[in-house]
Amino acid sequence: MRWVESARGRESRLGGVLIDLYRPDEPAGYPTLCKGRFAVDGQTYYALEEPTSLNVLDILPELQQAGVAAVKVEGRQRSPAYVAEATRVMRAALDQAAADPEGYVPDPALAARLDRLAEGRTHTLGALQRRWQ
Amino acid sequence: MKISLGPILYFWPRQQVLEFYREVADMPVDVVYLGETVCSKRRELGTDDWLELAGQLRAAGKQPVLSTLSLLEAGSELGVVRRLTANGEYPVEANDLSAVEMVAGTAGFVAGPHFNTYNPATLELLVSLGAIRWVMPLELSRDSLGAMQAERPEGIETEVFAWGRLPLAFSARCFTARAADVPKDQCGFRCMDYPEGLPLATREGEGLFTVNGVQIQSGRTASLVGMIAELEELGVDVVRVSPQPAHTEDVVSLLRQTIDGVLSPAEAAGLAEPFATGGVCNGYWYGNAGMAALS
Repeated sequence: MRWVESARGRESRLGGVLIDLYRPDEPAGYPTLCKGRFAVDGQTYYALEEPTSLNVLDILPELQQAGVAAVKVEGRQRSPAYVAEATRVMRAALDQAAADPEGYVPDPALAARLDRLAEGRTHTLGALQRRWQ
Repeated sequence: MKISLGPILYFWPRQQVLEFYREVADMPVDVVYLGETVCSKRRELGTDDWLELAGQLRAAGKQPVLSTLSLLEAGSELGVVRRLTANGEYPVEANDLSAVEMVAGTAGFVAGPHFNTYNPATLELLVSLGAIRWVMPLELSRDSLGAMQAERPEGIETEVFAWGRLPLAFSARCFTARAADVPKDQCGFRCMDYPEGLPLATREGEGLFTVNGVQIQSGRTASLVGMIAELEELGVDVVRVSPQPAHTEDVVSLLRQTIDGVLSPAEAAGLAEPFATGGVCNGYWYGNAGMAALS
């Protein structure tokens, strides 16, 4: 995998194959095939996965009630600064939810701190908001 | 060496499927894999239909094998696998280990291409569970195949995927629904609009993948037609052709003529190439990037 600065912008390439191309002012996504923008049926978009991060801050009391004993923070191939900030935010939110599960309101300031780290600067509840068969 | 026809990976209308297998009855293939392996919402044919087709193909001298779904997410899907594994007549191609659990004690099963069969110890385990054939994982190389064959246990056949777009990955997400900007639960069966999948290209126009519902395939058609002699030397028992809407019969015929010594592998590979929409690739065989076309 390599980054290439070209006249067109910043390119991420895997074995020569273009994963994505970013304008100079555009935040670059994670350089992996499933997070690239591709052309399908005449449209160019994130054909496989949206660059967004899972964030469970909104549903912490529900998770605790369901018996979840721990949350996992993705840290592989992330920087120490990323891991420090993400775990610090999660710790604070977990402590809030544990102290007052009934009165827990997700703190927008904590969510904003995570969004600054998140891919695409956005978050999602992902499969947790889906109804399963 | 035998020729097999893999399960149809795309969502074709019922009539097209029935017509296809009418033609298969006359094709020089030995083994025919039947069933839906990609998406449980594709129900143009039900289990009874597949069993009926199996009967017709057996009457035509083929060995039918019933293939199971590759990614199971619901109890109802396990129910279908249970019905297939309990059919009592035909072997099953297990594409998920849950099916292996169910085939224990039956006439034997085929370990499908999505199993992580990466070493002889795994092959031993599969044989002890009743495997009669294994399909080499798609991304393994000639050298890996050689190493596996050298220590292959008694009583198990080896099958290699020799022609077709490689079914590389499965996801709980549906990429065809995503392309249509509709939720997976309300997909409207868009897959039927794409009888050989939906091409995905880079922003430079290079063909990269093929979107097939919850499955991502290679953009190019993998072809090991030119390696028939090497496959024979390595003791491969079956070569697999993956069905496509057109020219499946032509590819099967070229493989048959190569195995019978009428064509050289190189000649056959050249003649087969026009039947590969999106071009051919063989990189995995050489331990290289799968999309590479090497010689």
